[in-house]
Amino acid sequence: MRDGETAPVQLRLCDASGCRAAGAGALAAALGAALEGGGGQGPRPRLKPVGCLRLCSHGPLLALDHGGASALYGGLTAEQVPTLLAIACNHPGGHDGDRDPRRRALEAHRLDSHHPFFALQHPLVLETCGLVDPTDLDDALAHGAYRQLQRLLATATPAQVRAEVRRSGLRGRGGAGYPTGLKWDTVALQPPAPRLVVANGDEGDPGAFMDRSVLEGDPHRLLEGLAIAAYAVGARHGYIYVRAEYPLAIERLLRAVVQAMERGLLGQADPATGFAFVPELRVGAGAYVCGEETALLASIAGGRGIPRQRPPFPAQAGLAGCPTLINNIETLAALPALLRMGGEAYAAIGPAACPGTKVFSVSGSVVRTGLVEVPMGISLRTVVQTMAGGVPGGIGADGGIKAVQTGGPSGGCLPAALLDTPIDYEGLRALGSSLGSGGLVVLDHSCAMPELARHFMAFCAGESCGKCIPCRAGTVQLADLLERLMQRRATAADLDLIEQLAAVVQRTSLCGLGQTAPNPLVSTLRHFRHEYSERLLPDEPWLS
Amino acid sequence: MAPETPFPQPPGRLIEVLHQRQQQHGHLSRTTLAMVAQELRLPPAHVYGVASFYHLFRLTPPTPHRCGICFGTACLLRGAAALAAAQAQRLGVRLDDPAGDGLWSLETVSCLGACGLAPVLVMDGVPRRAEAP
Repeated sequence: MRDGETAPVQLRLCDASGCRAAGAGALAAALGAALEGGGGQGPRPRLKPVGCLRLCSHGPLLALDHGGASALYGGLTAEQVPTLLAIACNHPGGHDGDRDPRRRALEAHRLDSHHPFFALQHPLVLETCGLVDPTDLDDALAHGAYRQLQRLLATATPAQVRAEVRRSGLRGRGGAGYPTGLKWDTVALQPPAPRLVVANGDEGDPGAFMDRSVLEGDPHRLLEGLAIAAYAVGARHGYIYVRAEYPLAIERLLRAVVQAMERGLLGQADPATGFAFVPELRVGAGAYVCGEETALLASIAGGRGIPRQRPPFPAQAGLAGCPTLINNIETLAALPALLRMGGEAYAAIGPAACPGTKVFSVSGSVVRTGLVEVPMGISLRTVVQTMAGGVPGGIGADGGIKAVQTGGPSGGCLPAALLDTPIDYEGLRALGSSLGSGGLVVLDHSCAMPELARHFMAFCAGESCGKCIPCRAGTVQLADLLERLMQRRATAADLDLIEQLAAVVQRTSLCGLGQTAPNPLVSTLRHFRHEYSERLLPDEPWLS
Repeated sequence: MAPETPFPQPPGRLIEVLHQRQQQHGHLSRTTLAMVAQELRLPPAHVYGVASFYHLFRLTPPTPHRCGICFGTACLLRGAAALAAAQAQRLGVRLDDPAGDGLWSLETVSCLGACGLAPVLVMDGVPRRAEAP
């Protein structure tokens, strides 16, 4: 077959930590052994470990590229390896093949790549995640890594790069949605002094794994984005802060840094501009509050992750007093594609007020959990129902969905009635939730909202750094009051107290953790108040 | 050629050093912390403060085997609490008691980002999908 020679047959095996937990290691070993042993005719397929192939619930995932086409399989085990290799080595859909029961069994594992889950994705941040081998620099270069950095160094001034990012309308993907170009300008226009850039990879929101997937699947994209940001603001040194709970991401990122430095893509002065950028990896040690930017800086500096009052903002005085640019991993990873397309083309994707694409991690009670990258402004229903398939066995117009939890412990819950809300920063905030970093957890009708609120409040009480009283004491009191409510010992007066205290904690806490800690409580009270009131003790008139 | 360091280096190595020592010794004893303080010329109180602030630093020796239950949102919804209770009964240990029974201990861990496979169980550092009881 001549086709086989022009388009090599390859097996892309998802080697991200999700699929690893689902047994990708055993599958890789079986495939490796079978390929080593030879057998079969024709060109030997190449086994390539890649990053996230998106549909985590059906892991371990494997894509077979054959003759220009691609087939995705899910949930394969070592027993199916010989059949799979027979298909890979010979013809993908021969007539006699269909009668083979083993082939039919394998076909049952094949996933429909035209399903909305895949078809509605708009990959920019993840455009090469799942295609490149995250451990291989040459493969990343073949897929275009560092090309935008080199083009910009040769043809654009830092001010032009910033102008392009401003034009794109890109906003911070960490959750606050601050315009990225504006932040860059603030750092760049500080009085002359060394500047620093920091990539925030302390993805602590439970239910969020976008940054982990970028780091595990395409680390060179982040490094390129970070170097572009450094060039744009005039920094020569940067830090990438990754939480310690992501060992595979740390391993891959570290390897990528070494590769890029050795190859001279980073670390060496560019002949035209003299720009040299050195990134350094910093590993967290388990503290949710370190996602807050001033706490993050304290942690990078080797101290307790305790936030401080702003201003001065890190853009003015951050690490060691230097103007410091802090961007989320996903924001930085969006830059190579954004700058390739140009700011205007990027701004044309999604709504004018918050353009571009956003990566979401969908989990909870849905048929298809995993990673989706979609244009901003898409409705929540499209993501959780059309793409993710709603609750398994769910019936009705909302597919059995009770609510969607967005933004983790600092976000809120949107009831099924609001599923048609377009996803953007302001829209979700107006409904008492928040986009957060992009974790979407789908809740079914078995989930009791006060129970969820209590869980998040206890989480925040445990993660409070203890610096300011509203957060330190307020979250503990709220968690206790919610516990009392769950035990059906709370009165209507207690519920009033809960609401008052939640408002105090929101308004008076020092940093984002405390200010947003009551959000899950407040948003579920807003949309599911009856679940709270039905747990109250009945009024006892003789007491009043 | 390495570019010159453009700014005064912040005293940033402490957390890295603590990670290294914990990897070597399994935990951070008082002696280890005192030695780290001396090496890095930091006040012992600062070193202890940092070590006790972060959840992943252990100040007491870990049991030889550890079982972690992810309590992230997705895992919680898919029965993490029941899973933890079942494991506690099976192992005969209390949840989040670092001493365990001397051989095994059971702990809650924060979200591992493997939410697609919830509920997730971590056996001696290896995360895997668990069947909800």
